[in-house]
Amino acid sequence: MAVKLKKLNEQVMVLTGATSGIGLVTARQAAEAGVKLVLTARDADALDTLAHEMRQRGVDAITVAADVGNPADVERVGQAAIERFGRIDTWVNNAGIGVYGSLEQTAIEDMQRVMQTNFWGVVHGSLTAVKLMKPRGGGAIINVGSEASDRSVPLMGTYAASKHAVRAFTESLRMELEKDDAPISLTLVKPAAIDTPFTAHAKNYMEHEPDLPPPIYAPELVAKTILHAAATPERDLFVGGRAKLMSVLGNVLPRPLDGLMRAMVFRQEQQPDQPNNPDRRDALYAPDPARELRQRNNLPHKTTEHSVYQAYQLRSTPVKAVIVGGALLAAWGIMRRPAARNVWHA
Amino acid sequence: MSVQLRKIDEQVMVITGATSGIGLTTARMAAEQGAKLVLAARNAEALDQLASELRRKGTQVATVTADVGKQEDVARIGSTAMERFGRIDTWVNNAGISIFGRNEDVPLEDMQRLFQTNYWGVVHGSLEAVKHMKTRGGGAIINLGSELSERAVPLQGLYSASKHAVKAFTDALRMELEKEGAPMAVTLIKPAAIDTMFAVHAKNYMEKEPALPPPIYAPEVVAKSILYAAQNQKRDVFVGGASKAISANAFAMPRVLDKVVNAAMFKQQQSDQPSSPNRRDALYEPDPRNELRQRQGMDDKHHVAESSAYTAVSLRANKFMPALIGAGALFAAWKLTRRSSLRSGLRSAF
Repeated sequence: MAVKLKKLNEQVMVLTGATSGIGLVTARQAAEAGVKLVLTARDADALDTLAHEMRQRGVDAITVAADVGNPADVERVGQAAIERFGRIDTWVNNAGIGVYGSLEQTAIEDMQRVMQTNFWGVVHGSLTAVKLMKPRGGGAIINVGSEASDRSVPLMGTYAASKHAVRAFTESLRMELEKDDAPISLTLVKPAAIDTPFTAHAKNYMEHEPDLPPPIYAPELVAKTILHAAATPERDLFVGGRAKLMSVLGNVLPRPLDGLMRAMVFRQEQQPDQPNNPDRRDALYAPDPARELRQRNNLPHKTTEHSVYQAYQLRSTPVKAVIVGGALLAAWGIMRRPAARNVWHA
Repeated sequence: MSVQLRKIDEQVMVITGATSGIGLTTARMAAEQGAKLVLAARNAEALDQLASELRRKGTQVATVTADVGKQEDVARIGSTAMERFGRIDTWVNNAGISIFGRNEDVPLEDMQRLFQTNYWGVVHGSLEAVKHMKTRGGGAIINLGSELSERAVPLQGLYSASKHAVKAFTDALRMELEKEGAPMAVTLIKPAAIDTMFAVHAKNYMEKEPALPPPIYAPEVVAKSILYAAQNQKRDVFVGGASKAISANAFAMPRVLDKVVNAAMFKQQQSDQPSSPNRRDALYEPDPRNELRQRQGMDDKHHVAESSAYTAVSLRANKFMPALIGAGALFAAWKLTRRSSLRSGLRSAF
């Protein structure tokens, strides 16, 4: 059964992790598109500042200070949304955090805290959303996974485990909702490395400051993908061709990818000229007010502002078919040219 | 770098979840092959009974009553093994439990308890094993994933999530140990549906008693894979061709598999027996009535496959895979240099 979703400018949207990175960009893009917003994060001050900005622009927005790892907090988010707007059309489970370091080094409490935010936060948010949406005409739930939902990464083992778990939970809940013919669309968004304060917020056990493996994509690409899935039912969406590539390699050539990661990723995950500061602050247990309300981290890399793969992916099926068909025809045409055939003999 | 592992009869092996199903079958098989065993489970009486059974046959056994969800319990498994045998060669993180029911119907506490056993149990066990093995000549860590490490199913959402997490943790740990050049093999075992006490031990929120989707394999097929991986470095093993097929389909056509799963699995995961209101499960506490059983006995309803050709071949495939790939490349090259015959071949094929 096809789920019908409202246009963005008719929607009430709940957004977790709204004061930073992908959440912040999505909040601003959604506001521009006319969405009514329920914004949540742990930092009440940052939320106030953001709400003030939103109201100045004429956006109908409320804020709820909440830790998604705490089910009672998430319950409050849902209640606040219903009290203020009477319904929820889209719920975006975006809040997330990382820990960098080998599994042997990482304290078990830190691992548990990552799982509490990244996995249980999604469980709490999704189930609250289902409960509130189901009797009110349905809507969209959008869970932010990662390219690490499909393929694990060294030095980010617990993060990868949490994002793998998010994928499985999302997949299983989606099938159950479909079986019920519930009018709810459930989408998993899997971004590649994105230029957000992710590395700055992450706890770090490595010798150097954490870094992201290139290519690094702009958070606007993820926000655009999330808003697409809020209005159009989608199963899952990659953001950035690299995320798709890692998924394919992880499935088809897992062992060679192990070798590739050993050769490259350990190095790529650290900034060689930035030793880890012993007084380094992170946002694992409490928000870091000094780094709130920043969309990007501005790592010393070029950020990719567009993704061809993503642009293709967000097209409707007939358009995709035309694109793929066109590409195949072109390839066939080239292969038919005698000169090209001779390449085989070169 | 390839890791050298001892033969089973020279090994000290830790097995968690040793009093039931796959763990029990593996313990008995390893004992027969001469391993020294450190067996862990939550039920002390069942452990005692199993230990005396194995000792009568001449096996050296230590037992540790432990809940793998508790880090301090798992630390006791490690220290007991070291005190008794002086080293650990293989550590099998097998203990696991499930809940059947829609995600919406399962209380959060139950979900958390499942995660504590299935995921944190593997984390605790793996890190404890690394601590003892790394500086003492290494060895093998064998983590029990599932076909649901690759693809989630409805009605077992949290089980699927826990097994996905186990896969990611195991993959990251393996890459990190390999990077260091640590002499350790880290294997993920991914069984298909196995005839064990799994469905009986699981907590149930469905109207009917839980059941497993066919094809169902014998626990001995998993135990053999575990003992193979204890002696030969393997990255991962699918136990049962069905497990590999699910994984391949999940990757190649996820949307189609959604439909197939939804058409089949709601029914296949429920038996025709109504769930008893007094039903006992083993989520929070072991169930003494259902201990020390390798199988539930599903062959009254289904054929239980006693072997898997897929798994038998895949366990040994890395020995001849380079030859296969080489032969394939040569064949392709030969075909390409004979382009005209290829074209006529294609024409005749259509």
